[in-house]
Amino acid sequence: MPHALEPAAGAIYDIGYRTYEGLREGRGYAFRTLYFHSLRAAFGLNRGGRALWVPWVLFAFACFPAAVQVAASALSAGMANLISYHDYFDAVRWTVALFCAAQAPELVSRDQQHRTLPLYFSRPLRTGDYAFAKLLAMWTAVVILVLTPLLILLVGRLSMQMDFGAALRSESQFFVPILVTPVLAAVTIGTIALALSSLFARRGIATAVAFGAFFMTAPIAEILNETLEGDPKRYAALVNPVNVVQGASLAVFDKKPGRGDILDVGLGPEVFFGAVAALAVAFTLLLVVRYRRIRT
Amino acid sequence: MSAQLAEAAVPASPGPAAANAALELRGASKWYGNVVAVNDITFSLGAGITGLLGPNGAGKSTLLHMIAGFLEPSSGEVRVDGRPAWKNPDAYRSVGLVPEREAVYPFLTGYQFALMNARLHGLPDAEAAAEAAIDRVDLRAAMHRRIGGYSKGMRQRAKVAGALVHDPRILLLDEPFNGMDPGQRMHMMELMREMAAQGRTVLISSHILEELHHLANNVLVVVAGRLAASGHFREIRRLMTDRPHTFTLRSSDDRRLASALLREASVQGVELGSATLSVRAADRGGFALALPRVARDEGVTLLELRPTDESLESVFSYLVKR
Amino acid sequence: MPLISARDLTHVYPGGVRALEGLTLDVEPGIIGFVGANGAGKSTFMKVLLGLLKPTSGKVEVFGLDTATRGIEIRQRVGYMPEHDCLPPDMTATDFVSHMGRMSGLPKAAARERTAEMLRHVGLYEERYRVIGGYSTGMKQRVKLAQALVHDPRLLLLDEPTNGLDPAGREEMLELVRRTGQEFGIAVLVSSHLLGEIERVCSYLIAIDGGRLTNAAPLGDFTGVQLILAVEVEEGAEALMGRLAAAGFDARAEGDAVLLPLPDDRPYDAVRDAAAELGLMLVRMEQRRDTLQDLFRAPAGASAGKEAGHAARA
Repeated sequence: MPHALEPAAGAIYDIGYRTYEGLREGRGYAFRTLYFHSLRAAFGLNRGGRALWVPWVLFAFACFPAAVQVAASALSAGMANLISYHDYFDAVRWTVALFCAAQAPELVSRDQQHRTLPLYFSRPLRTGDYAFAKLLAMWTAVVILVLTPLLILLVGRLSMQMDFGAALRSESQFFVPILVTPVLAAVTIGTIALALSSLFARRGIATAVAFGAFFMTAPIAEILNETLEGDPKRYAALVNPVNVVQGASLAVFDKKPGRGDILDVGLGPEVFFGAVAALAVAFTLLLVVRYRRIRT
Repeated sequence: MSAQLAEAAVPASPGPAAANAALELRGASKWYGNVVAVNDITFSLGAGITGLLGPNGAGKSTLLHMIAGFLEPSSGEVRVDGRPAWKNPDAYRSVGLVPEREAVYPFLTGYQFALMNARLHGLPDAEAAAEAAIDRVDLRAAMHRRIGGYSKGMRQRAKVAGALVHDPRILLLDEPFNGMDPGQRMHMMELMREMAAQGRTVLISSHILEELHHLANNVLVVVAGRLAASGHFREIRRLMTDRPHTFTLRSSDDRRLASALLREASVQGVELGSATLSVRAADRGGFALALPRVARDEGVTLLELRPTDESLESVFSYLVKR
Repeated sequence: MPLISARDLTHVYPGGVRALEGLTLDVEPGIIGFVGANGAGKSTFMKVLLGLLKPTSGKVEVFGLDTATRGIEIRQRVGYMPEHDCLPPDMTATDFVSHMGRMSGLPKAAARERTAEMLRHVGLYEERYRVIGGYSTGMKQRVKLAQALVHDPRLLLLDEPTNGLDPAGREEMLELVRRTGQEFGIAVLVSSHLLGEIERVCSYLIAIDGGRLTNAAPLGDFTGVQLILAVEVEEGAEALMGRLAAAGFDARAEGDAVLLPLPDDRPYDAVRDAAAELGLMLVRMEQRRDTLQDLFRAPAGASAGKEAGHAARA
């Protein structure tokens, strides 16, 4: 049945400025937002296109040995033993260092180069919040980078066994070291890369300096190892942060360094863990002080 | 109408447009691939201050760099003192350019920067020339301090000193007032006036029309690479015959005055506002003549009368939209 | 409660530069113009307002909150538009403003909605989905304004908002500022070197020099009308002057204009009638106004001295 005709009606809706009366979150929310934003930036996800290449290619390199091991193991019915948990970090040490040197500037140098910092600091955020959000994001990124291949190895090993429960029990001895090694890498290499990058607004320079801290100290450690005698000779390896992580990682896996390796000097685990802690604390301090001074 | 504007293309500059005008462009164009930055521009300038106006990206900086001899015209001619500006060291001696971007080394002192420019020009007594330039921009007090520590206004003055050190006849400035406070601007304007009074040709590109119109009565308006107008902006306004003049009035009885004015042939339209009366007049002179008579005859007291669109801003915005 | 309230605010930078010197003022909401020579302390004052700098002595309150102790709360309700370039070139306007909205405390959905709204209000349409690197100066300034507005601040700090804009862009930005202050109801503090713009848009003026407050008053106090009538005719100014003098008015010439004192209303009709009788074209008649320029028109020696003083500070 047709409706009765209604009188003509119309309305103009107010699309002028509206105030915001809703919820306003505080510092914790700003911190989390910056953390997730930076974590995505570490993997090139914020900017689309070209930014994705470097981090994901490096991520692929980092996972490659694990993938090869799993494939070889499957093909050889478990006989192939190309690489294992405890020597994995050694295999990918330079990939990790390069990842940190390449991506840390994305987190901290960009904001300086484009002078975006005043926009951040005019928001309800302390400089310390900014620095720690970035640092935590860097750590998370490195953990993902180092843990993923180790998990691939683990899954590979588990799937080779017939009895899943027994396999799980036999691999469980490695769970702690598998989780700890990425953290060691993150708080050492990640912190150093981030702190050094924060000193430079130009990303190219920041990457070069950060990578230099890892790359240039390697030959220096070798030279010191050759030329020094006695006690100092033993500590020469620690000059290179990557060696420090390697030594600490081996200690966690309760393995000895290979014969003739620069780390084969009989240093106890406490030395390596101490070095990790010292580097982490020192460079975190550098980062915090840097941002406190920039703001003013 | 376009014919009338074309006549104004050779501006009435304060000095006579002599056969050997200080600066002359004829059909000058500059393109980069498909991008035409400067498109067929013709004008000549003598002594005095001229403003170069145009929206962002109109080609003003390109034009200034062509005059300074840094860019080769893709076609046409750019002549300084009768000689081509491009690849002509003599021309470089006659032209000083103060570019927009920072063009000073922060680790040099003001004096060193001027001295460097003097030496680059191969001046016989570089030190004296540098000091003279520093004095002219009133930077003597700070001349031995590093430019990196200068304020914005001082940095601009250092750049001007560098451009003046060889005593050029033509001075080109690209956005010199950017970032300057009113005091610094007045100082710079005084300096420009002195330069012009000494017989130099000064061409200033600026967006800050409220300042420019105190400094330069003559303007060149560039829009998308074309020369849209040149000359005294009041004259340019007068030439815009396709656009009625608008006036704002206040009187003792706006409505009465408005209806009386509508009887005048010169008036095209009136608009009653809350406190004012706007009048659109096709014939500016006719309206100006009729207004006092009409007001008197109607017994209406005129309290305020202002042309609304004769400002440099108004002229400029009209030219940009064509 | 005043919007901003400073008492004896002093700030000395580590190098010894005294940027603010015993500044005391109260500011009510409105569109406030903030002028001062370069190096006079404007940026320092803005940084103190944002809680980014702790004053050496004295204190300042925004919304009744002490900037030294409650900076975080203040920054939740303040928007800041810096003078310099500050936008990342490889993010889109939408993503960037939305991110900034969330950093100011807006939940994700609210940030998205307000971003869309603010970009519309500042006049960015399809371009908002392109990366900022490709924007013109005018568009970048709009993005800067949008990120300052996205969290619905109570106070907006604009540092030279028309910097680098061509005349058309300038007009549009000033119109936005006016709308923000008048229609959106947000208090705005505009720092600018262009006195004409301040006169057009602001209702209140703060002027500082050498870290000290030199003026703080409604704009009308500085742009009052003088009791002088300025008249311009196309031709025949001398004849006009003669006729007015004959009628007993103290007329004198100044440039293109004829000036008469305005003790009462008689001069208006006198001018009108003189022009009508003499057949002169009357093109302008208005009361002289003071302008902000007059505030800054220092005698020649003083401005050089000021520059030297600023040089020491800069």
